[in-house]
Amino acid sequence: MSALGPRFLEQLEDYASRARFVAASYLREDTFSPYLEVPAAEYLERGGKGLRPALCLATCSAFGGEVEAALPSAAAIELLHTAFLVHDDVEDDSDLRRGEPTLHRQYGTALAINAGDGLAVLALGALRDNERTLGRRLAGRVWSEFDLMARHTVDGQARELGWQRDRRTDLTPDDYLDLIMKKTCWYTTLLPLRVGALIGSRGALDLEPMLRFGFFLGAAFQIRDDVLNLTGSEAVYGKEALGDLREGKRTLMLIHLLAAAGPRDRKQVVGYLALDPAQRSGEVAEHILALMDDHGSVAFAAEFARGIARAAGVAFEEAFAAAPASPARRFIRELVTYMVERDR
Amino acid sequence: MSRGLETASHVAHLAGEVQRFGYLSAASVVKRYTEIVDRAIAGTAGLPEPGTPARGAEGEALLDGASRLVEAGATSFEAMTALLLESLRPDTGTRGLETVLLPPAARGSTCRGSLWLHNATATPVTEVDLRATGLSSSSGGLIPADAVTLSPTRLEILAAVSHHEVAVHVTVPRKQAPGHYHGLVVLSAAPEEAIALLLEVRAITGEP
Repeated sequence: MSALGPRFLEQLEDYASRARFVAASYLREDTFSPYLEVPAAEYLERGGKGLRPALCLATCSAFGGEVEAALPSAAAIELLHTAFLVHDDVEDDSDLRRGEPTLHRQYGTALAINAGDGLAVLALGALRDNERTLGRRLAGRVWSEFDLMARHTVDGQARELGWQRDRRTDLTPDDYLDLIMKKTCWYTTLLPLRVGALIGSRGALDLEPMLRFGFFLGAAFQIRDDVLNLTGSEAVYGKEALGDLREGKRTLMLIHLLAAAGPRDRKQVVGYLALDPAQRSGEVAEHILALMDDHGSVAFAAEFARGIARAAGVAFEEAFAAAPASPARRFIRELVTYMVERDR
Repeated sequence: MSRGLETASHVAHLAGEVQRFGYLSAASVVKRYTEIVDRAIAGTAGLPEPGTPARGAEGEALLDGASRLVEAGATSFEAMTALLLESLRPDTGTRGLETVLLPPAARGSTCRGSLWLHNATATPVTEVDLRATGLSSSSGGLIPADAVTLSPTRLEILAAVSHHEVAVHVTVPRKQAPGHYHGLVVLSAAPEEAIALLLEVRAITGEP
């Protein structure tokens, strides 16, 4: 894979800040109560990496569109992403997000959930604006992509929460990939790519190669995220260390451990997963992590992701075959490297 | 070959197998979702994709082929997890270029590794020629290119959504200085890309 160019991070920030500014403008347009506006704006302004809107805007540009034409969609992606994060943090009872206390820790669960709802509702307004700038037909197709994404994402989230509630220990790597296709890839990579390509090509492009590229990229990204949750520094990563383990998330490493461990170790892991999350102390989570190291589970996930990341590199060339050389195309190629090799 | 060299060879092979397993598993998910998305978009928007060709029988056959490969990969998951207990180490590659980590070899011996060519696209790739350079060390040592052989050196066709293993053999000259040697494999189908080779040449135990 190619190395990051000198302007890559600057370009990422440029795309992200433009989308964030437009997203925030939907919040400012309405006269909301401070009980909604303050927590919603606060989360929006925390500023993640902005990968999703950047992917959408750059893809639009790579296929010949004006970045401005995709800004409402990119803003809607950022608003929905932020809404999902708020609710996700409540569901997982997480402490940290982007290096600061989660919204429900800061404002209470009720106001946090409502702020998440508010951010999702604002995304609808952003999509409505597409009719004016893209025309009804193309805006309708963009809407269909968002509709499809939202259905898969909430279904994926339900599946993950259900697995945790039902103490599932019989899962395979295929189950995991199916899960992350739904809960991560749709809104992280597939939607931004497909919507950007739709707008940039004015609906002329075959979107199937984007499905392949988007899934390979999103899957490699999510596995990297899961590995970072185990091995990354809390200060750099911005979430509590071992958070996934303490929540009992069925990550690829956990699935591997359950398959690789002998009866004695497996019994310990199953016993750990049977505990309520509040009972899963840091010490016990550290022990499960040590078992993962002993059984090669983290190394397995890293190699598994490396295979998918290679496929993403190939699939990129196919998906962007019709896009001429441009800074936007180069940015997306570099984004593949960035997303699968990041440390935060 | 000593037990240490055999283990390193096993680790390198296993890492490649896990990568292949990951790719094939992901390709299987893509196949399932391609059909789901086609149905969903047609159902919700009621708008056909302008200029989008319907996937024909040929495409279905290729994707079914991929699915069968995935089944073969899936059955090996348990075997791989068992093997990983004894050998997989966390860092079998380097960042930047994709790296084939060859098992350490004693001078005068031959080592074998493999690299995998993946075609994740829906289009077959034809006439792929592979070439390997010689290997150089930071102290100026050189293993000539004719000591590095690839098998095969040409693929007439790499089918859509498929992969192919390419064996890499390196015959280490008897008087080669110990050290880390680096080389490249280049492909005619992707002239802007290269795959790195890394080989550690070790002195034979008991050598002066």
